[in-house]
Amino acid sequence: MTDDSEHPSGAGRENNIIFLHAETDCDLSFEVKFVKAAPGTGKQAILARYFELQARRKLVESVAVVDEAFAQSPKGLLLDAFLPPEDAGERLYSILGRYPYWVAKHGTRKARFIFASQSLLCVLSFWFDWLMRRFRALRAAGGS
Amino acid sequence: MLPKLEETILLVVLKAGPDATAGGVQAALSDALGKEQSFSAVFTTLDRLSQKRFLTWRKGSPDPQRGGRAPKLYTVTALGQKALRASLKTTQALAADVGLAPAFAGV
Repeated sequence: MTDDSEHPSGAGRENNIIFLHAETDCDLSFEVKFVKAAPGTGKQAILARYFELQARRKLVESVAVVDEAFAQSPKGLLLDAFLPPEDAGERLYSILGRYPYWVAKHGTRKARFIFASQSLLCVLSFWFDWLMRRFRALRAAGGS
Repeated sequence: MLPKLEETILLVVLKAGPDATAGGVQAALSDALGKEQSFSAVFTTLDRLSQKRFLTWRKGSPDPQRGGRAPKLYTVTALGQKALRASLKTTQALAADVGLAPAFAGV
């Protein structure tokens, strides 16, 4: 942002106020170094604009990560194969929702491992809970 | 008195407002506790709370980005709120007895 190097479009300093010009302030594919500002705009306003653009750029990047993660997300065959359809659907919806976060935080490889382990735990706990419910019902029926 | 996880999940669902999803509950729990929480524990607890009628749920709209799967949208019932209030009151009273927390006003 405070890079003093001359930008082709004519950025420079004047009276201690940074005048920066970009070809477009919507081009977020590169590090935001030049901010389009009207002559006479204060440094604070330029800085505010800079941080706003940086935030937008990061948002665009994170949306791209989420889109890519969704596109390459696992199919959830384990859940589909071992759970009733309604339960599998809900569980898969939730775990897939968290998957892009794991990709962003840990990378694809570890995210896939977490996805698989969470799915496996879901299947095991579902059937364990199912067995326990049946067991309690049987015991209650036998005791009465 | 409710088990701790049931109490926490009821609080999270209540905080999330009507139509909380299991994913949202897991994310909120993970953020609150600073550690990734297991989906299986969340689902099992949500199922148990639904069986106890402390929660109701309805089917949400399917999301094509997630393979056309639809979420369950959970809402705390009046019975759930009553049980939560009673459970929190007991916890607070016990904590106050040993000088760990002041009595929780309004509960």
